[in-house]
Amino acid sequence: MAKEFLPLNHADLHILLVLADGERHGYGIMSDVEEITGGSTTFGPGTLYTSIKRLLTSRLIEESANRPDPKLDDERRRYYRLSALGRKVLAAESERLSVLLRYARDHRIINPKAI
Amino acid sequence: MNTIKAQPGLWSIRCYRWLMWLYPSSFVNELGDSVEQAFRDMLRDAFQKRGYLGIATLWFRIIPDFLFSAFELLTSTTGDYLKWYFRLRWVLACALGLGAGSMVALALRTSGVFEQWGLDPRWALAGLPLWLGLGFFQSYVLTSRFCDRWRWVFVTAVGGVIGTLVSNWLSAVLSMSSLGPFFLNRWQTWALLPAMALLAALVGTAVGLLQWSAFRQSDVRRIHWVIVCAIGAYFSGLFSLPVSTVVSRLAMNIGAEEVMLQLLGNAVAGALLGLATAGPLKRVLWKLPSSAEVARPDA
Repeated sequence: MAKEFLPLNHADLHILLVLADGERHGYGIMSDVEEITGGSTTFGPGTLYTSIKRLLTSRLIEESANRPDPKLDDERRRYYRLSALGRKVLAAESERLSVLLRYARDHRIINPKAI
Repeated sequence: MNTIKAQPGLWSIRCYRWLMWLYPSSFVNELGDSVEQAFRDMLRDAFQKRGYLGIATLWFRIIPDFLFSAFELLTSTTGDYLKWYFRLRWVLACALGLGAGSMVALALRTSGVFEQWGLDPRWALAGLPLWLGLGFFQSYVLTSRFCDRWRWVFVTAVGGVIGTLVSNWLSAVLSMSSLGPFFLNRWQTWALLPAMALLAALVGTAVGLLQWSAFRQSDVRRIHWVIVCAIGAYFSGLFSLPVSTVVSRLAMNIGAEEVMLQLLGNAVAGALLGLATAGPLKRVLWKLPSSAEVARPDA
């Protein structure tokens, strides 16, 4: 079932990776993607929510019922979390990428000690 | 939101809202507020870091992001936005399926394969390539998201052949085949069209009954899909004969070969079938509540 979704596209993979760490709202996802990729990957709101909509439709993520404290944050913000299926798909995609990475390392396309 | 911080970007927010008009309305209705909120957050951070220069450089990121996402939303069939694009693909698939299938059927018929097998070439199996073609191209549009593709092709072919056998039998019993070809200027053939289209509806019913089993979504109701197919086939049967006769005449005037006429006639019938079924099909496939609705806390 999870393999049907592979390969994930660029934006979807990054969003799932960030959500694996916990619930985030839209801008939180954008900021975290930028942070974990060292600024090499950035999304705008259009790309982000196009992907979020796609992931919601495929049921890889779900909207969280939790809302922030109105004193701390805008209560209209929507938070998203990884679904059980999304976690399986993310694991399958990571496995797939790890095979490619191993190949690249074995063939000295990248520095074997780099990762 | 802090109004003092938001003030410098007020025009940017207004511009972004105008841009968002170009997104599909269903997307804006569902996620528009969140998209705008994310833009406001980006704007706030950009202004805090680099002032007006930050806002200006932000737009260099926002415009390509907007263009790419709008293009994706307007061309993707994975979302439920581009209903017209799905419909267009569906109509083309039906036209191409019956058109290409008719070419294969014609080739088989002229090669004498059916006679070698002792089959009447006008009989149902001669229509097998048509149904295979229809099933194949339809499954291509539905994708494996909505159907088991090979099962879809198989059941479409089986349903089409069974439906054609039954309608041929009924046609023989009711002596409808003795009416001969369709004439635009003969009122009798026009008067009989609604009755002849019922035979097409019968084929559509058989196809729909079997195609239902190939849907991935278990909550597509069999009766809905059968009605969609039956009405679609009726509509196709009702209009394809006059339309394809007119198209054939036009084609003949420019010296088209019989092969071309055959292709055009069947493609027109397929397109009409697609036109009649695309709308209901879209409603059948996308009637599921979105995940956002399911997860909404106040729901």
